[in-house]
Amino acid sequence: MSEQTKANNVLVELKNINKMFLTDEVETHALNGINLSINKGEYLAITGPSGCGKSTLLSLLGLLDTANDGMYKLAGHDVSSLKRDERAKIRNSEIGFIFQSFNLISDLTVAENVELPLTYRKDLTKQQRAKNVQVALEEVDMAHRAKHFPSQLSGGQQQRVAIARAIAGSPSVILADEPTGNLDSKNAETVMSILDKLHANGATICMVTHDPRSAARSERIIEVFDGKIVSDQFNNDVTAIAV
Amino acid sequence: MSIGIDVKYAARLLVKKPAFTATTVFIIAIGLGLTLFAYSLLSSLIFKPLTMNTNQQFVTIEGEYDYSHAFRRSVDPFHLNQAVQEVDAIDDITFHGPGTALLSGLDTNVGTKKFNATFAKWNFFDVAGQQPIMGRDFTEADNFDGAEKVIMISYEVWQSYFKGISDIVDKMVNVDSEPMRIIGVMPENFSFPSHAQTWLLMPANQINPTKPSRNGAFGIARLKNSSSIEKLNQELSHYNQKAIAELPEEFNWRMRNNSGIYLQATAYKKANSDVREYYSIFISLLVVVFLILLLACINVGNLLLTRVNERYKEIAIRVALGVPRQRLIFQMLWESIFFCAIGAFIAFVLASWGIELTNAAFTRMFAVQQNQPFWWTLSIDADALLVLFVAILFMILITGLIPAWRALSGDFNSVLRDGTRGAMGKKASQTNQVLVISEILLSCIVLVIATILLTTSYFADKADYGVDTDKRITARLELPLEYYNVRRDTEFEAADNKKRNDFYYQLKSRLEELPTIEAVAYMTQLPGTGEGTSHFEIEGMEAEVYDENPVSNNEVIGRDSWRAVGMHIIQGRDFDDRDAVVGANSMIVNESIARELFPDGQAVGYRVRQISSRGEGDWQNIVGVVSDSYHGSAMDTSSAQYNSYHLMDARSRQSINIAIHYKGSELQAKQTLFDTLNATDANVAAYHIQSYQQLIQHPMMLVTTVSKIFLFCGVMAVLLAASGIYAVSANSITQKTQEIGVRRALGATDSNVMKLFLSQALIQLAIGLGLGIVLSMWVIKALQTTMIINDVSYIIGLVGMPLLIIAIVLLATFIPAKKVVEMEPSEALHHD
Repeated sequence: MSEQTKANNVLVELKNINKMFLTDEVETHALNGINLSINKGEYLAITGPSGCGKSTLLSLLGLLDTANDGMYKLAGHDVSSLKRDERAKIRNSEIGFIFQSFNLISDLTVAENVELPLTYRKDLTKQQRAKNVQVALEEVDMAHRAKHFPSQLSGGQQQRVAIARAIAGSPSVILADEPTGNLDSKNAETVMSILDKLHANGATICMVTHDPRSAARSERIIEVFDGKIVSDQFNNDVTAIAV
Repeated sequence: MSIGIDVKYAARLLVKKPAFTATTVFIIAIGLGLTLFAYSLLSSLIFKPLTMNTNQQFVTIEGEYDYSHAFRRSVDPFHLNQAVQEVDAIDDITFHGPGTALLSGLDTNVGTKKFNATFAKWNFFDVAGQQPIMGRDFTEADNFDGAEKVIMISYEVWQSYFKGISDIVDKMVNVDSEPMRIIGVMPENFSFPSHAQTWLLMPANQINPTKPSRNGAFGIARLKNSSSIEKLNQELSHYNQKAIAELPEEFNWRMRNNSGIYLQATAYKKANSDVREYYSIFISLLVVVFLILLLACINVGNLLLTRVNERYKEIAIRVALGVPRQRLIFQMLWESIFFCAIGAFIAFVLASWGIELTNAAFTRMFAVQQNQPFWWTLSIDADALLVLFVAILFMILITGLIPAWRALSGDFNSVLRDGTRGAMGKKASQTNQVLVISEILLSCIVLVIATILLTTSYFADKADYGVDTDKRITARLELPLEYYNVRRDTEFEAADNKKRNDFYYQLKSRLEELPTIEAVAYMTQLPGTGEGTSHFEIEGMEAEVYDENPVSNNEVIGRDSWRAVGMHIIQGRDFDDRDAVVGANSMIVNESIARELFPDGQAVGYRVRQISSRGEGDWQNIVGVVSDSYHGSAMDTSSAQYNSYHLMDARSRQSINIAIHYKGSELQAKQTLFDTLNATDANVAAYHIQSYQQLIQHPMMLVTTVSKIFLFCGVMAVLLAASGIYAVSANSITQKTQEIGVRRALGATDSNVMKLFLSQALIQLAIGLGLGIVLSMWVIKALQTTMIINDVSYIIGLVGMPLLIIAIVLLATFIPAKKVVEMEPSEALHHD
């Protein structure tokens, strides 16, 4: 692969990223000199012990937070110093989020939750939004529960709805923060299968996980420890672990 | 032991956040203080039955209250005597009528002085349940024809007028220049039936007429404990049917409204004219105070709810450690108990202060006429303390249980697992919406009512009555009947009338000769006072139906009276000698009548007559048109726009109002009146001497006093509403922080988020204000029955106040929403 092709293939590029929190006058270095690039279509797992900085890394990747210094390029554009609303637009169009605790909005139905990120776009008509919602829900096999409220669904179903929400806008990258953390093994497997399928269809996925079985399904595993990437290796033995 | 720990913990929480504690206690104190004050006020003035020394409540039995003329209608003692025989709800009845007594004759060096008198049946003190402290009670023998005339005096008259002389009983005193024997002194502060200072007997023929008569009296009875006012009214209703059927045609005027109500029983305090006239205002006060209590409860409940949200994790840990839910509820109740106990103490102090101020206002209000009903003295009694106690319990339950319910209905597991509260539940979101809507609704009603009453009272106070009141004093003159009696329907009538008028005109001439006096006017009711209207018809323009004729206020005036009050003739001429002759039937109408009812506004030369429902009345000739003035208070629905004036000379008056335009000081003018009056005829009394401004303000004083309470309520409502709406909105938005984090993670911009909150706020405003305005209109409709609300008040109340609330709500939404929007989404997502 030529350098140019390689460069074109890079979706995420972090250079020398530092993140520090100030709590009660105590400085905590959450991330320290992170360098990372993620290619389009890659399935990446970020692992590490609690408090190592992996969720902070995911927040920075998702433009949910800003680094104290360093450079962040997404799809070739420098997004390190964008304003709040510019970051919001990029999150909306380029990034899909899946959270550990699902974070569905209880007042909204399943369909409305999935439609939510699309409502922030100006380029979609109501019909297009409805079509995207339908396709996304069918992708996760939740179309039959479109009119239900989150409280009427099981944890696994809620996470499937959250995945539908993440993919409804056809983002460049899906960021998943412990997507199976609140689920039993059966539901966890269902969710992971969906992610596998999405990846197989070309989606770029970046997942933070504690679970080695989930990490083992990715093609690249990064280990973070004390705010630094201590290991970055391709998983040559990607296998679907049966329950 | 566990109670001790809980109490200690609750106390520690109070001390830990002094600003929070102070705010909460302040709100509770306002809510409870106003409740205690309003209860004391309304129970003293209206609702607590008057019993006096027994457990049987007093009721009045009188005619239907005349709202258009604002007076209590007396009834024929003949019917009262008959009715008492036919009803079972009362044992005995006594009657009375109001009046004045000019006392003189004892060597007390204070001269003739006017006192409030009650003319009563001889059993009056028996029914009242009170005997004199000196001397004896009236007896039936005192009422016999030819019996010696007797008078009972109050303790206060004995002490002030008679200097407390020990042998006062059996002394002779001149009452309206007629010698009477003082038979006793009533106990201190006894002024039953309302503000009596002396008690005289009604003539025997008035007490026991053998057939329907023109006499009028008010009945007072004690209701049997086994009965009720409703039952008594049912019994009276049966009697009324019979009495009306048997009433001779000449007495049909007793049924002026043909409503079929003749005798009717009313709770004693409720029969008071001030209470009747402004009943809707008192009820509005009750509504407003109750709403403020609710506002306070919601605010405090919400503050504690916010506190619970802050302590959610701690509560989750306690639950995880196995604390029984019941214990958690009690912990929160302890906190509420502390707040409410401290708040209640401050409320008691505030209410006591309010009561002291109100009592002082009442004293000022009734000072000139000395007609303060004896029960219009407020105090915090055992009943009020019981109400305070119930209100505290109510508040503890509301403010303690709502947060407890909220605290215990959460998902503790998720809180402990991920350290956040999780996205706001649908129920919690709905609860917050209901809280905000309730705040908007309650504050809207309170503010609209308070503003309308305040502005109406303000504009009424500043109203232009069409007269000059500067450098004017007014007084009431009363001629003693012994010297100025008019022998009606006899050959002496004209001479008797002339004697009265000669006195009035002589006094006027003497006064106007003095260099410090500009002019003197006589009028039955001076502009700015008085009320009541009658139908009149214009010759050639008569309405088909009696009720469709216009109505006007009618006053009797002296000659050359206009300049003394700053009015002037604009068409025709003033009254003169031509109008004083019998049969002249001259009248002057005001500018409004001329302009609106006569072709080209030319009224002079037309004939007009006041008519009764039977179409009777004498035609009178309009000789002049005078500038407009207004009678009655500007707040009163009976305030007259049309006025007709009749000359005093043609119909003499035993008492009349005098207005004096003076130079120099008010004190000097008052002294000049006294001196000139004594020089003209020392037997004539002048009382209610005051400045014209005071005279005009007097009918408004009760409303002004109540308006000040409304002002306080209004200010408190704004404070409570602003802080409450802000707190509820801020709490609601804070609880939605995580949701905002999610939305922002999904790409919502700042404006998307702000739009979301502001649109929610607008929906809440639409519901709250919509309901609030509808309910306010309903209350205003009730207020309109007794007062005129001007257009500016409507605009301020129904437009200004909703705009203020909109501004408060939008600001209360914008500020906390802005804070949340400025958070990094990652921070918002993990907001604890």
